[in-house]
Amino acid sequence: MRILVVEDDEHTRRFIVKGLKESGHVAEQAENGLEGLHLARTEQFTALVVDRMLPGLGGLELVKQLREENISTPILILSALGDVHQRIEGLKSGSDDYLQKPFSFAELLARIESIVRRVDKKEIETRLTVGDLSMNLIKREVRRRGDKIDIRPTEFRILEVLMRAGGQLVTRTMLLERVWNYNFDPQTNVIDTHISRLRSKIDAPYDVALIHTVRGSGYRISAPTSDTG
Amino acid sequence: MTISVPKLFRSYTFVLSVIYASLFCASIIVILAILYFASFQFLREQTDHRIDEDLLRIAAAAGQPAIGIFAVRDIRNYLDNRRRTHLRSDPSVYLLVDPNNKFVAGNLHRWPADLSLLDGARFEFEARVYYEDDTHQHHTIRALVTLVPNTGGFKLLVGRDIFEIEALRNEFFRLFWWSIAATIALAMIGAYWVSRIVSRRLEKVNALSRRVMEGDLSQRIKIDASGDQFDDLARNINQMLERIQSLVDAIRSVSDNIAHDLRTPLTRLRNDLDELLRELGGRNEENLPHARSMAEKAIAETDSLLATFEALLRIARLENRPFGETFSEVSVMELVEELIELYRPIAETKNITLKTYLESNSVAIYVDRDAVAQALANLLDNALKYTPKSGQVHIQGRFQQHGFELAISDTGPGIAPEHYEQVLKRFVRLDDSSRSTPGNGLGLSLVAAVARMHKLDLVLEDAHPGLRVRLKNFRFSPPTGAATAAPN
Repeated sequence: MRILVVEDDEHTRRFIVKGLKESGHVAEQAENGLEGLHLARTEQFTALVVDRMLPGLGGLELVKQLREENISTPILILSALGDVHQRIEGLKSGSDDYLQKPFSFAELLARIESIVRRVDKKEIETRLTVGDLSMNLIKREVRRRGDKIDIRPTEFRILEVLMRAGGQLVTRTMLLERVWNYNFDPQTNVIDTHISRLRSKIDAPYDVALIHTVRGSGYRISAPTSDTG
Repeated sequence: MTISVPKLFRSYTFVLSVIYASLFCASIIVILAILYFASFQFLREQTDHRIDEDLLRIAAAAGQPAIGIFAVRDIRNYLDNRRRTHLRSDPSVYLLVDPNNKFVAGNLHRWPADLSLLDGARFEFEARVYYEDDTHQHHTIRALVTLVPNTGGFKLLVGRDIFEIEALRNEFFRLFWWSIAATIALAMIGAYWVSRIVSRRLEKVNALSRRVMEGDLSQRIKIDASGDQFDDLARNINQMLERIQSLVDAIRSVSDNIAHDLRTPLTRLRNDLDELLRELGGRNEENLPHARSMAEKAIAETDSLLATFEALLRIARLENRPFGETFSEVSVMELVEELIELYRPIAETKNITLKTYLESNSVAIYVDRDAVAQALANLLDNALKYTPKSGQVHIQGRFQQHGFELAISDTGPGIAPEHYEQVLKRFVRLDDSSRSTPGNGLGLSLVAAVARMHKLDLVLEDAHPGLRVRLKNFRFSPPTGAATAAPN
């Protein structure tokens, strides 16, 4: 992936760029909104990471400008303002995701991959598959090795989010956002309990586990053969 | 507490007292003036009446019809007789003169020179009154002058000695000045006394204010149970100080708790990083897995710090959010079901029965969805945390007089009523040893902030057994005048 990082804070910018490079991606950087806008217009990027508060041209204005010019590169907004209403405002500007500072690099990368994937798969999927696990989105049915698995609607949604990530990390906050539309972290880690129940249905009866814990970050679902780490 | 005299004279109460005293003096003067004019008018009329009576008596002595020289003779005889028997105590004065103002009869020797000669005129003058023994006394006299008819200009003066009235007048004025002086003196003493009392009581308030400004919040004003405005003022100031003190204490305890809650993870973080540095310094391949776990631990500690900050910031944001601005229509059933879905696995692992009782499945309330969801999540979280295995947690929704009520009750150990207020404060965890357990003591303070933000009543009560937390007065309609957010 070729990512443009528009961030005025040098420390944060270096942290993101270094992380992206270490995960095998190409990172370009811009220190302010106008420089970012110029680069985004003239070069091709897989995705943009834009800070909300930038000198010169603000992050949201930058996104609006790009969208008006029909540049549809996936954009992730970074902001110290994490309130649900500021988040909605951020998404309304035309960005694809919104991440509150401070964040872990794993979370940022997971979200970048997620927005890129969403753009890649424009056609509506009716079926998701990971190894011998399959999900029929029309019938709302989950099968593993052909056995129909009885799961609750919430578990179905969690599994759907995991499977759509295509083997990539899904963080706990991403699950809370996408399954419950919550923009806060409950005190106890309820998501872990949900995952363990899901595991008891999807993984426990079988010899190969598909749901993996990424320590300190979240979960991913992948078959052993396609597991790239 | 002495008050200097110059300061006292500048004092507001003293000025008021002086104004009051002046008005009091003025009214006394008016009353005395009325009394004076009324009394002396009466005395003068009395005198004139006596004079008129005397004139009639003299005229009667002149006989009927008194013509010319005969009348003069009769009057002279009468007056001479009268003079011979005149007593010193008799205040009457009489004089008959010929047309040249020469003495004919009477007890005055001389026609008062400065008297103009109008018939029927009444005058007051100074003269000597003579008695039979040729002694005389100086007197003030009020008199009536009459022309004796048909005598070619003989004049009769009939009067009365009014020295008593004059003495009374003098006495009156003497008393008048003394009364004014006494009134002024008393008023000044009163003004001084009143302003001293008021100043003393105000000084108490001022002295207390100075001590409060110096940072001593423990002082209170003594209330003397007189029930007056000063007592009210003192009571209000005392209550204000109570409030300030409790706020200061709260800030102090919050900062103590923050210090405690932040120091522990920071210390652990520092230790982990320290250890990590040493591991990396060794450049020993074997140490790498350990170094990684140290880094993970350091990140976990940071996360817990950040979570605490996030919770504090969230509460602050909720408290500063204008009422109604972020409200939207939210279905109670959906809101509750989502939460139940989120917490069901935790309840099931503890074998806790998680039940919902809603009076209506179609009721919608106007709230900040995210804030209320988090408040309810915190309450559910607490309920599940404190309820022992195989217990029960209930969510209840019902109609009340002033809106909808949502209540969460558990069968845990509950909270003693005297601690209800305390647990809503930031960083307060009842059991000090529980500081090591997960949670930051901000859960219920967030609930309290959400309740304030929505103008809800937050009630904690005994659920026999366990705790019931009630959020009352959810609105069914958007607050008037407030723009509401679009449903999301």
